Amino acid sequence: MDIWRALLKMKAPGDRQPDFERFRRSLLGNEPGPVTVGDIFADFETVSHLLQEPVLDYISLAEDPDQKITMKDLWWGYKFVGQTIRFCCLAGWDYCWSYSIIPFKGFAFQVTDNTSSEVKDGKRGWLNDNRGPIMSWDDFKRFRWPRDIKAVNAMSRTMAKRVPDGMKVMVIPGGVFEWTTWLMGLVPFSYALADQPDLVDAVIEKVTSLIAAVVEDIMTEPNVGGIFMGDDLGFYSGTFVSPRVLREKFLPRTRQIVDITHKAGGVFVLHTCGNMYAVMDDIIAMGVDAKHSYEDKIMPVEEVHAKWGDRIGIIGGVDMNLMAKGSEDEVRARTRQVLDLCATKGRYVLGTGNSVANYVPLGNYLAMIDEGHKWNREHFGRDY
Amino acid sequence: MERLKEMILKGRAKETVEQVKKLLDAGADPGTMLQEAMIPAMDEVGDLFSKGEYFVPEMLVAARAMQQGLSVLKPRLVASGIEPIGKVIIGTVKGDLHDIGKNLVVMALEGAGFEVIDLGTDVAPAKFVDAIKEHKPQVVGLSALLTTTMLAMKDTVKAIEEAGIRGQVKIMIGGAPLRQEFCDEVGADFYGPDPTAGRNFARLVVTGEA
Repeated sequence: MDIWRALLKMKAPGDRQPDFERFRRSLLGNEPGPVTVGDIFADFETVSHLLQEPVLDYISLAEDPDQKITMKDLWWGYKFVGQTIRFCCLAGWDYCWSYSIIPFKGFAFQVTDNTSSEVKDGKRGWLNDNRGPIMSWDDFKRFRWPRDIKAVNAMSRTMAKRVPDGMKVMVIPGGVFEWTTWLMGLVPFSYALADQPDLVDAVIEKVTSLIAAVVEDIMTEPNVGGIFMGDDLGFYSGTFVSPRVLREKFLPRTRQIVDITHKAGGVFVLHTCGNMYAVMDDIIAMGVDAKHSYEDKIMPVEEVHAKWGDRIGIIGGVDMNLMAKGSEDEVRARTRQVLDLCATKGRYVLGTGNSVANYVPLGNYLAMIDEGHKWNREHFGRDY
Repeated sequence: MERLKEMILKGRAKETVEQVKKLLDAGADPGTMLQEAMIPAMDEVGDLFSKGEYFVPEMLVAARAMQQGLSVLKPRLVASGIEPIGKVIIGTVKGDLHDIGKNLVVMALEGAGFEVIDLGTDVAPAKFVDAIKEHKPQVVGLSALLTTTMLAMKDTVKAIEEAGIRGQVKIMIGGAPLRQEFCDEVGADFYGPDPTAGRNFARLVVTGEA
């Protein structure tokens, strides 16, 4: 008997009982049914707005690994776990997200005011693309690589002990391409592909081994349902690097993580922004169970669903521009359109185009979910 | 000249510098080197990027080769009285720290023979206005990556109008969340989906040809 699970397990708030297998079936099965809802994560401000209580800015702690964690931080972290679970239950998700962020040091973050009217006194951090902590072989040899995998997974394990019956955790470990280009700086990485390709390969190998260790460890925990890997590979007109470089250097490493996840019985979802048309077949061939992140201007979700929806699950796609700036009626209209086009044949989970970001009015996010409920009742005579 | 063009296209910075020196030593005209080899090389790089055959790393290494070759050529160009074809001010708007897209546009413009004044990121409308008054460009480029920061483009165009200098410049905008409708809404002159489009618009403004 898992004594910690017995002690820490929460009861699902609200009327709905989460069911991770329903989420799994939505992704893997082709049987149409009432659509469920999910996303990669929600910003802590959004969680706070929904719950009407203060929530820890966990990511800023994780992004500043030199900060000393106090007992008060640990308490807030434990509370954050419970708040995340409550948010997901109340929003109707069958899983909750958890971060297993490898604490690499030395990222060049820049902070600016959060310009959204939803977050008036907040800040948002952005990576400086022009620098990274590993730009030479000397940097690589001197770099203090994180070692304590158990510590990396502490929050995810706690989440897995606390989730209500039926619910599981989708763990976010970071992606091979992102970690590599953040460690090297996207611009120095680009030059290194030409000037020092062996250094690039060494960083990729090291990053992959760390992600693999994190995933192997956390997938042993009961109530971890799978991996939700965030790895932005593209932008408006294409992938950041050529499909050839992705196929040679990055996708095979991500495939290793997919295989580890599947071997442990989990589902693997890839969140990747940008124009992925050139590599969607490769992503599917890797065994990715579902893809998240779609932009109306770049890769409208209905186009992806029409072309690949019988081969890969689709999560989300209600465009962030609309979610952030549209009226609730506009959000509802587009949600309905996405559902009509994507959800009648199964393999679809309703969600945003990127994440439940703090600059998305909560009213819009709740309107999207509510429209999903209505659509379910109209089409299937019941909700999920 | 063909080898010079090829070395830039392939992003071979060392070989580009060597070829520039070799051609100069052989008596080649600096202006001809620029117009017949170096600018066409960067034009082709931009076109390959637009077509999806070149990507961010290929653009960056080609631009690096161009810049290093140009640094050797520049004193000779100045001595010959060859001037930039035009002047562009560019920046990422207030509240936005993203610069890689903007930097690719800078490379495309410099590769086309423009003088570019890069104001950096998080640029307030007033700073754009001051820069226009100081440098008197023909074109102003505004970049934004976020849905929430693109609204600063509206403020920037308004500030330029209120300063009474809107008629002196053409304004082009670019960035992931933008579309033509937004360009029309904020009163800009051109929306460019990629660096090549921005380069072609700027060239059209100053020479009448894209």
